[in-house]
Amino acid sequence: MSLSVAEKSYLYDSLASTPSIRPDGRLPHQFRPIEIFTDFLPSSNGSSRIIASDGSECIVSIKSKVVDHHVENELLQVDVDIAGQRDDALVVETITSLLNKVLKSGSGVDSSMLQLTKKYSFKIFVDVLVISSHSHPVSLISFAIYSALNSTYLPKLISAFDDLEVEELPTFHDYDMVKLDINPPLVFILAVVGNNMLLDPAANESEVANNGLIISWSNGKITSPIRSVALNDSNVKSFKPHLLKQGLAMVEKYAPDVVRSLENL
Amino acid sequence: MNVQDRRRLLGPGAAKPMAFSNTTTHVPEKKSTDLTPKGNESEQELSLHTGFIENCNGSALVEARSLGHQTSLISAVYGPRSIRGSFTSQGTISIQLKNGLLEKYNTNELKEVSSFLMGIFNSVVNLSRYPKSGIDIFVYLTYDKDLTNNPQDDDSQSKMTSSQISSLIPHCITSITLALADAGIELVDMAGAGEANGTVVSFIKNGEEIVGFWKDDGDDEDLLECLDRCKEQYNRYRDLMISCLMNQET
Repeated sequence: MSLSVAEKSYLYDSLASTPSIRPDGRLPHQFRPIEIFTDFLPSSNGSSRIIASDGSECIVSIKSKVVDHHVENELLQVDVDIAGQRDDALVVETITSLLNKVLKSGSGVDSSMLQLTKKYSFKIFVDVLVISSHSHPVSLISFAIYSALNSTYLPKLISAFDDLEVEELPTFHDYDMVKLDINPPLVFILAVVGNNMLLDPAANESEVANNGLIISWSNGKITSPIRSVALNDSNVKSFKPHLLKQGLAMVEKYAPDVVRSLENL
Repeated sequence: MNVQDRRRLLGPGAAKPMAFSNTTTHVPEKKSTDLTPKGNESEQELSLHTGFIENCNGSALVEARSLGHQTSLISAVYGPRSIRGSFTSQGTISIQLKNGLLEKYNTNELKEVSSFLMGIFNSVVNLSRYPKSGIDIFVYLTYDKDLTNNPQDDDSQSKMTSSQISSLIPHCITSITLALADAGIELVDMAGAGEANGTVVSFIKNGEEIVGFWKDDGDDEDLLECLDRCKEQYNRYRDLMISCLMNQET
């Protein structure tokens, strides 16, 4: 979306005023409505499709593989594909790297939940396809990953847990599946406009924003990675340190509501 | 010059191209070294050089050496140079980070850092002064190594790598700022950054405003402490940058 200089100036002034006036009439902490469908891909262990009200759409598929966790350290791997972007495009690689850090075992996800036996674990492959996106897609992607992982069912183990002494591969039940329970982190994106913080900026708001913040939320508290991110090329400016705290406080206040609504799917 | 430029109004036929007197006097490489250790972990020697690559517009070398770690990186600035295509009212910046001999960081992570740095320098460089032009910045991580060669298991090593890339970012910012200043590109202020516990904060305006924030480890509990420690480091680095540039002037 490209706005004229006059449109940008008008939009900036209304967003930077107190209280801020957003073009679609939302409150500073209010999200755009989203639609989520889960478990619609028959060939993957879990899947979700998320559609935002501006037409942004993203599909996530979860697949799994049994690996020796003494050899493979990272048990979650994210791969992002954005329609219309090359695989080595800056935005694609940046989002891939960020999401891999978000879901890194240890800080983000409890990897013991993926352990099958003393030797083997499930490795989860998260494949993200962004079909269309108008604003920064990372928040949308993380909601999709969250709902996909929460709808993931993995085969049930029937062989013994202790397999260090005996050389045997894990054996699984023919029909029974177990729900994956790993409580993945969420990522929120905020726009800094003047002295205001706005959650979930739309495309036109991103275009005039002075700066942006990416904040992760896991297990009821703010966690790393936290980043500042330029939402456009032309209007980026510095911001006061108190806005950082204000943004964190905003996420802290409203993230539980988002988690609750995603869990009620 | 026999090439006829049809797009511009040319001078009279007998006009000769302007020739300047030889101004390519060799700029002496200046070095300033910080010798003021503060506490154990910030005991870091920093040495800065500018203007040593001839075919670019500005360049800077930053070498940092602390007790167990040595880093050195080179930044080169090409531009402002004209871009093809339609008119743009502002300059555009591109930053590329490259691994040196030690292929330590994967390209995903380097691209993430370079897009973070682009966000910072988009707000620091006075881009409206450079319409229809591009500024290309290349950062080459020449050397980044632990001096203590402890045999470490894989887990701690992967943890080290993630914390190290954040310890690298302040030096990237210092070297890019110096190289931009060396190229004579107009900046809003000297940008600098500090790092504490995997948190990098980049400041301008004497630490009153933030241009970049990067946190890889931990939660938000030690945020205020990190902000203060980063600001301290920023002040040190900025003073060093200024003294380096002032030395060069004389």
